[in-house]
Amino acid sequence: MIRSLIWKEWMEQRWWLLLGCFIMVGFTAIGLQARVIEDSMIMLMAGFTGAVVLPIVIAMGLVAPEREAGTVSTLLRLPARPTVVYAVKTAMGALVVSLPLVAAMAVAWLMAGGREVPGQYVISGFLERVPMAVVVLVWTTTLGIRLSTEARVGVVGVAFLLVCMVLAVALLRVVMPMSDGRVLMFEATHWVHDFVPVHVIRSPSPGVINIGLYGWSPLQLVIAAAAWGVGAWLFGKPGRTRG
Amino acid sequence: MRIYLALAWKELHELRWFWYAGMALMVVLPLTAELYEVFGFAGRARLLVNVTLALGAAFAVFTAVAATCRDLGAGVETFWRSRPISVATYVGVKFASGLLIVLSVAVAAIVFQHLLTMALTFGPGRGDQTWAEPLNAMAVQAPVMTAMYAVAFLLGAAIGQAVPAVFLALLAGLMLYFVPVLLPPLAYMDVFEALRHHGRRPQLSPQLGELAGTLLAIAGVAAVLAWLALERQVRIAVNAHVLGWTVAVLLLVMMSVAAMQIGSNLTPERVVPVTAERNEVVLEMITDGQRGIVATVGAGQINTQSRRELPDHAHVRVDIRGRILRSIDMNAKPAASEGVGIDRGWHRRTIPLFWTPSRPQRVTVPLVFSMTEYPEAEIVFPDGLPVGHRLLGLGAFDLIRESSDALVRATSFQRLFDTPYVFNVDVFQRDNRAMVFTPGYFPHNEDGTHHPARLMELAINPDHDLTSLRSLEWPARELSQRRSSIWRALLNDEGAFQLLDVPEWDMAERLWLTLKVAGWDMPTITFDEHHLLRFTHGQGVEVLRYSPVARRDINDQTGANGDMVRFERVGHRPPTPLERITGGHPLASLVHDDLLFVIVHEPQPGMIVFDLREPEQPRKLGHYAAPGELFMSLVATPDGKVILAGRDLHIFDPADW
Repeated sequence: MIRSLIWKEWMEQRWWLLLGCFIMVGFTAIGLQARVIEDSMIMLMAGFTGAVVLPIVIAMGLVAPEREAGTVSTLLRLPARPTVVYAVKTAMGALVVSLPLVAAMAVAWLMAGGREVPGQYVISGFLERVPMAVVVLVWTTTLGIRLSTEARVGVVGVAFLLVCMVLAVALLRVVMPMSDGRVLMFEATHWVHDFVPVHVIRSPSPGVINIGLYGWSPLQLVIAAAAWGVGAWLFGKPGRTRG
Repeated sequence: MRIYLALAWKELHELRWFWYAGMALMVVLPLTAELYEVFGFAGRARLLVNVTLALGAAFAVFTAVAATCRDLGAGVETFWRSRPISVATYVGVKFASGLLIVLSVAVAAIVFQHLLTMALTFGPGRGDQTWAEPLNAMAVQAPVMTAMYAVAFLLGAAIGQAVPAVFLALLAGLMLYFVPVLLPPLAYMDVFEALRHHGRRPQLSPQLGELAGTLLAIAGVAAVLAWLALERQVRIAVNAHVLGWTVAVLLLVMMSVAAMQIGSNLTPERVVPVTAERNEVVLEMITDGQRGIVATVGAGQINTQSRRELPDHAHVRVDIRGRILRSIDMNAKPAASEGVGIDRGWHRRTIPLFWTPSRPQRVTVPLVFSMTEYPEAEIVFPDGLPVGHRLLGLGAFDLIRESSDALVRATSFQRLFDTPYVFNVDVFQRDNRAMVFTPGYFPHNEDGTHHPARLMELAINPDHDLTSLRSLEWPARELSQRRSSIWRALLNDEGAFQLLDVPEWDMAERLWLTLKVAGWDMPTITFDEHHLLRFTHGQGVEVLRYSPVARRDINDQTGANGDMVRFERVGHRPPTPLERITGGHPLASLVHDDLLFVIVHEPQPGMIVFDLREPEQPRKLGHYAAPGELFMSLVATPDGKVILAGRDLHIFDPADW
């Protein structure tokens, strides 16, 4: 049964995977080849797209279309626990948001590893976005689990991001220095890290523009896992959907 | 007629909330602009454009989609199709009603903005407020809004679903605005340029007519297609797949087109590290292709307070700022200790380096000292020269030193001028000679002292002594008038001006000197044997052919035969709209083998190369960008390569292109 569920999700999500890889690889390759802006900024923008925009789009297509088409009830009547169905859906979603980031990382490393940004930071910079993307996916899916249209899930995802950003900015500590005068830097206070999934923080790379996205920590993953549990419970629980 | 009126009333009644919302928005935003103005932001003029361009476009899209999709629901469509009116009538009235809403809001926004500006402008600027700017804005934006509305109307009629129709219509709006910016053949449709160009001038130019005509044609075609879609009940299914792929492909194609114009397509043969610190950059370099000397700046950690002495003739105490001469080996990274610090102030001008490969560890640099230029300096000269005199020193640097804080050694000094009033002394190099130029001064009141402009031509012998070859003077007033004629001639792309008279120099050298002493920004203008090349902002280039003027063409009062050159514009490569936006101010230029190399810092530090093999049709060969670099110098090597010097040496082989 699980194989059947995986096959179903794969058939439904594979075009998103292809589209995600197309966008991420295309954007990264064109940007790094053209060099109109710094490599680090191209990688940052690619990372933002892959870790924030793509998960919201993928989350829109996980559960809401099933509700819209009325196939949720069919899924819940299958000889598999709702939690398993939901786990397969989110696992496939996680795969779909992760692979484009890995593909973009490979392209960035091949084209520009060590050119402006040291190769290991290219790899770590993209790989750090993978758990962040999964966190955003889980939160958006959970918050939109009872909504019946994709558009509403998208709105919820954007609202979630805005709340994160407001929280992060409100609790930010502005750090001015940079003796070489390159960049104004923002750094989140420590405890904010663990509670705000998406915020701005100093990149660990010494040679890179020091603005990056940071979206995960061990505690953050635990919180996201709890959010996923709530989503799984709501997914299997009969009740009135909104919209 | 009653049918038309009834349909119009229905449409306007249904769309009235859009009109209310649009008018409210257009009133609020100009007021916001005034608030910006109160707080010191110059946002008024921009907002006038942005209100109708950005929000107005979105308003047109939402209005059009609402007008169409509302009547394409299952029950409503069946109802109106059953009425005794033709589809053309129904669509025509719907189209016109919605367009009326959009245009009335756009025009009201512009008018309200202008009235507010006039009401709140006080003082001398009040009289400058005319209706030319708002009328021009309407002339440009009315066709834009009409086209946007019509395209959105078509998408709404063909798709029938509001969300995907809005999405695709906004995408189409982006294309309408930005594709002309990205595609040079469509530059005449550049809305932003049209608004900028026609800003405050009351005119209806052919370009504006061309733009408006094209946009109205697009609107007409879209309206006809919308009618056909509704007449034949065409309904395009747009799902997430279609939307996703459409957005992705279009955005990546637009990004690619932009990258092809301003992106990097030249690859260096190799990059050689040359500076020891991240902040250190090469100012000037000279090389034989294998070895060379670079003067760098920015390594601020060297001897900031040290006292340096000139043991032969003078003692100078200066605030050392870490200027460094380095020997370079193209095949190896130099050691950080291979440097000699010299004093600050040099970064303000090009530094001529005199160096020969036969004595690779010796470099000679002309120095100009004065108390005016070096306020921190304490200069004591043994021969009792009074402070304030300009002195030319010749620094001979031995690059084999134990450490980088070696002494500056000046082997020769010459008294340049007797008069204390000499400023802007410029030292430059021509072949193996050093030339020192002072522009002179003439006071506006007749009581002041006139100081002629002077040129000293000096040779440097192997023992690093200065030998004066010649000294020339020109009345400063005459030189000033000559500068004016040069600027007039060059800015008008044609005409003639008189060259400075330097015996035994050929025309190219005299032209170079004339332009140099005219104060022309040499990175912006350069020349080869027959052509003068002017780099225009936004990565454009103009080619002017220069030739001596025959005696019969010369007015008796302007000079003798051969003293004048005539300019004639033979070629022009205008910047594309995108290049104009991204800029490209030159920092240094070089003509080598019919190629023009220009260092620019926009959109990223790098180099643009123009092909001048056909001067009538100069073309851009390519662009090289290196974000994070700081390029200051550009040299050609004897083996035909070109070196772009910044923190590293980026070596190109034009033979590969």
